[in-house]
Amino acid sequence: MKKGFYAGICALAALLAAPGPAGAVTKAEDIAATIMLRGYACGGRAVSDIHERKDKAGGTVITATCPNGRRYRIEVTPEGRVRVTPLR
Amino acid sequence: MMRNHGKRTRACGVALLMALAMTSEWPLACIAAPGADAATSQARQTETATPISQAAPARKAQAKPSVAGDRQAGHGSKAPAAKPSTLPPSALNMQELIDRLKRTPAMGVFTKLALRSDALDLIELVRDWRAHRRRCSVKEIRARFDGLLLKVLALLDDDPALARDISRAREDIWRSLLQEGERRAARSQTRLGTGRAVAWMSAGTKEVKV
Repeated sequence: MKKGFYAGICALAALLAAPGPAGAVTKAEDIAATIMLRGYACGGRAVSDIHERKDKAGGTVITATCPNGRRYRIEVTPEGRVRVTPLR
Repeated sequence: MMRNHGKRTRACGVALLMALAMTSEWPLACIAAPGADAATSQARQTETATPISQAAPARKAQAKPSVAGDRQAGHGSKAPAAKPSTLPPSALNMQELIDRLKRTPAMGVFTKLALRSDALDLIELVRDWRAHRRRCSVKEIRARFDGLLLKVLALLDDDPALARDISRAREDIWRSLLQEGERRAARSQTRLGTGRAVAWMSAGTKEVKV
């Protein structure tokens, strides 16, 4: 019983600690990296609750929630510029 | 032990990224100053000449003290000519760097677009500096360039070959940036549409398109 418990803990730890396969950057990780690149705290490697829509100008607006609970708005302008704004 | 080390490394990487992003805001001190052109024009001319012709070789000389030291330690005898420490000069320039960054799977599309925005800002800063539109020094532009390069290196955790090549070719990229700023100052700025910008960055990646 105890052996199985420890084996489960080890497997979970290995799953969390092991790096993902090369080239497997998910959209959630990508957005989290973008937020951190602009100097905002995110509290983790991946965001959640991602909503994406197009604006009238042809750009893209994304809202996402970081693991620390903060929500951010990521705007990609038609020129390809990226702007990050904290929502609260 | 290794898992703890990996976690610690990852945490350090994220912390480093945060610190870099926060410190990269300081070049905002480069304030547009149209009236200050005449006063600082001479200083700019000396700064313009310095980084391309003298500063870079001087930095290279500082960066390779071991080679000179090895030669001196040889006391005129037959020193080993080709040592592993004497790396061949990298031919990586800004365009090659951009092409490889476009193809790397270590970053997503949005991260690449954000880095592209930073790079374009930097090129614009160099262009303005060349056109005497901003009160900036080469040191400030260089510091901002170093900060951007460190950001890129921190993000290239899964592509160590590219990170190594970028790190080696730091001075080449710097010179290429100065030349790019000069070229951009000469020609009119062209705007990219969203589709083209995203296609530009996401070419070679299988990420979700904007």
